[in-house]
Amino acid sequence: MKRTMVHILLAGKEADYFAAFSQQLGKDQRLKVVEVDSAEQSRQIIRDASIDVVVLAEELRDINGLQFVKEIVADNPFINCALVSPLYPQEFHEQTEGLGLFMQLPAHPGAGAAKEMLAFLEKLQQLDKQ
Amino acid sequence: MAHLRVAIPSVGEGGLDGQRSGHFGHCDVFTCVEAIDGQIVSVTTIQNQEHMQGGCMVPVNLLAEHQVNALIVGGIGMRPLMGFKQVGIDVYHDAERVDIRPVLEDLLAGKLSIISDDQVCGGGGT
Repeated sequence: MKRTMVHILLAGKEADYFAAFSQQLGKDQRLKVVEVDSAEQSRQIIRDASIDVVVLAEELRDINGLQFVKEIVADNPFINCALVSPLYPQEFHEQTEGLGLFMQLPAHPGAGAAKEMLAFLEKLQQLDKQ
Repeated sequence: MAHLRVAIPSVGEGGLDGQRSGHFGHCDVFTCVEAIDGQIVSVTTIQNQEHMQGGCMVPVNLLAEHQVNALIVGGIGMRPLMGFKQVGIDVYHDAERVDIRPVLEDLLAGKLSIISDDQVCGGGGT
C-alpha cells in the first residue's frame, strides 16, 4: 500500500517525555507527529484525524498506557500501537498478548528507539521505503 | 437465500477432510467453504500470508479481500477479533475439535456460537 504520509500520535503524561524520540521522527518527511498528554486528547485526535500509529508512555495524565491500548484496540483495531514498558520481554508479551502491539519501547525512548520503530514500520509495510 | 463464505484456519493443505489449526493467524492455509442455504457449493483454500509481530491485520485484510463472511477459530486475540468485526466477518468459536468437517457442519446447522469478547486469548491469537 503506497502511503504519502504516516500520522503518528505520541501520548504520555510527562512533558517532553518523547522529546528526543519525536525530534528523530520529525526528521522524516514521511511522518506527521502529534504529541499529547492524555487519553482524552488522544481520543479526540483519533476521531478527527487519520492516525496510523499510536505510541504510548506507561502513564498518561488520565489512564495508564496499557489500559488505553486495550481501548484503542477495541475501538480502532487498524491502528498500530507501541507501548513503553520496563517489563522483561516475556512478561510484556504475557501482559499484552492478543493486543497486537508491534513494539515494546524502553522508558524515555530516544533517537535510537525512534529509528528502530521506523524500521519496524517499514517491515509492517505501513511506511514505504524511499 | 443465505450465502456463507466460511474460512477455517487449517494445517497442511486444508480441505473438508483436513484438520484445523489452533493458531489462526499462523495457519498454513484457510479452508474456504461456500454454502448456500446450508448446502456446500464449493471448497477452496486461501494461502495464508506471513506476518510479523503487530501484523494482526494481515489475515483480517486477506480474508476480507476474499469476501469471507464467517470464520471459525479455536482461539483469537482481541485485536484481530475487533478487526474482523470491523470488516463484517462473523467469528465463530470451537476450541475442542480438530477436524474441519464436523465443525463446519455444526456451523451450517446453526449450532456454533459467535465468539464473545471475553473468550479472546490472552495473546497468541495471531
